[in-house]
Amino acid sequence: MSEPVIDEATFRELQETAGAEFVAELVDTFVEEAPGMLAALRQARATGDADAFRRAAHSLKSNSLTFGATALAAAARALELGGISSDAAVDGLQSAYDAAAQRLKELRDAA
Amino acid sequence: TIRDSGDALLTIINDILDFSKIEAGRMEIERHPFDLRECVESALDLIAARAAEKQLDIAYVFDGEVPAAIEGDVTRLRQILLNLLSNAVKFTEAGEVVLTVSAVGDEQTEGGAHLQFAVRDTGIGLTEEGKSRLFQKFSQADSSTTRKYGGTGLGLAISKLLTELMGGTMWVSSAGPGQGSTFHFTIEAKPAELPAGAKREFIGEQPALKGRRILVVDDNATNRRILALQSAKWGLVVKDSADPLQVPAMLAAEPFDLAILDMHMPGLDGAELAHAIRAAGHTLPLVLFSSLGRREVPGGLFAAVLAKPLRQSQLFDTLVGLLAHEAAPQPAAAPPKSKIDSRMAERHPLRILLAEDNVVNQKLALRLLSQMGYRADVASNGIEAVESVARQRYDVVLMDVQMPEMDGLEATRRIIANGQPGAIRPRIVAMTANAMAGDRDECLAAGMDDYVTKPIRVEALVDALMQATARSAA
Repeated sequence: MSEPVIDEATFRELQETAGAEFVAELVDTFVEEAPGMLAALRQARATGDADAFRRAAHSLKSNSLTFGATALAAAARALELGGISSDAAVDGLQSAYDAAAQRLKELRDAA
Repeated sequence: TIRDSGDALLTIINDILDFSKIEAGRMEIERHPFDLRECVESALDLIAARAAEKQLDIAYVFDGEVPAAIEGDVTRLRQILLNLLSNAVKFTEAGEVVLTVSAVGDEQTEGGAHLQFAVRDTGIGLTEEGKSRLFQKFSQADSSTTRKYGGTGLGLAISKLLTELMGGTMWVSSAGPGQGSTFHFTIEAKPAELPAGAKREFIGEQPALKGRRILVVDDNATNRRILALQSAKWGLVVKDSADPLQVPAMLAAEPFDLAILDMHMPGLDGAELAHAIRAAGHTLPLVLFSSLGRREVPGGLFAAVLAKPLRQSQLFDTLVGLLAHEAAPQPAAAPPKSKIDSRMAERHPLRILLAEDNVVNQKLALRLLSQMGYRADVASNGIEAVESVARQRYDVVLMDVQMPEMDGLEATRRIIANGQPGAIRPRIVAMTANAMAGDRDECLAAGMDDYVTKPIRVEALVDALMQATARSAA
């Protein structure tokens, strides 16, 4: 996939609209909440709960789009639409999240 | 029942009145531009339920270059279509009813531009003698038909006269009893401009869909053909199969972006096939094609459902919704940076409830609202939303659709159900990440007044709030 980790135009627009200080806090909130969503996703997969799986993927997707984390959003969307998925797919989501979180923190600190 | 007899009597009276009018030369045929697809789809909608009850497949095809709009009488055309379609459904016990529309001739040809319609069914068929009696008034093909199937025997006579008034003819073909029949008719059809406010056009290749690969699985050849034809016109690469058992191998052999599965197939039904696809490790989105629409969907398997008869707009929205890359909202070339108006709440005061469970979304929405001068209350799920609305007066509820415990749709239904007669309820605005027409329809069906798509854009939020008015104290 050639999706950028973070679409910087989107991120900048978010900062311009809501304020850079606020967006720094929002990044912190995302980084706090996302691990819980990933855990919920794994849990849903383990118990075979298709609805919970889809909801967790959907929430991650929604938040990624807010920040312009396009690669992560695409991965989450694939799981949301595809339903309960393989190990490899969930690991892929984890890597995409790690990369996005890393970059968001850099952008946050640079503001 | 009384209602059925009343309806039947009304039909008989209307039929006789229509017929006399035509015979007396007093039937007026209108000439106004109208959307052809809309006319066809609305006629099909009227017989869809009955066809579904009998488990018949119904579909329509625009064959070749058919104009989007023509000049004519939309009501009378719909009347003819309905007559032929409901007869076809009535006289068919199994199989399908298919309406085909094609263009014949043009303004240069002798006779001018005409449209030809054909309603083909797999029903009881006709004998030679039956065919000749068919269009005579008060007669049906076979006298025993009346006892078994009812009807005045006038409908076809009227339809035939109407087509003649519209510059065309009607005729029937059938290979024989038990082999179905096809009713054909033509009408004059001068192409016209789509009337103002007409629906979007889905003509030609769509950049959002170009090159995407889909697999269509349906034992019904007409459905396969329609899905394949339309999708190919939009630029998709389509493979199809009549045999569900072949599908896992097809998916293993080549990559596909999406698969459309018919529900009712011999051997393996749509849901069973979906399970098999997932078990084989394929994650592509799956779409169910079913007469019963959403009611038949088993949880978690399908990303969307297409109802029969297939509406072009529904197919389009579903494909785009699932296949087009969801780009993060891109700022357009150089739009003026929308500075949020911090005095909006002063000029347009509103009591707002935000129902949203996701913390990031919640914080962002509250931030945007506060920048406009609004202080909103918060509910973290549908149950809290219902309770909050019961406790205090709100002018607007920004209702996230996907919430745990109780979702936004259910919360909306409860709020409406709990409303006191005479009391004004808050305006409910859905916040939804899904742009598919079916999801929007669901929101509207639940009673929501408006929707904004997520991620939320400031402009959309402002528009939605400007539509709301302060509710006066109850």
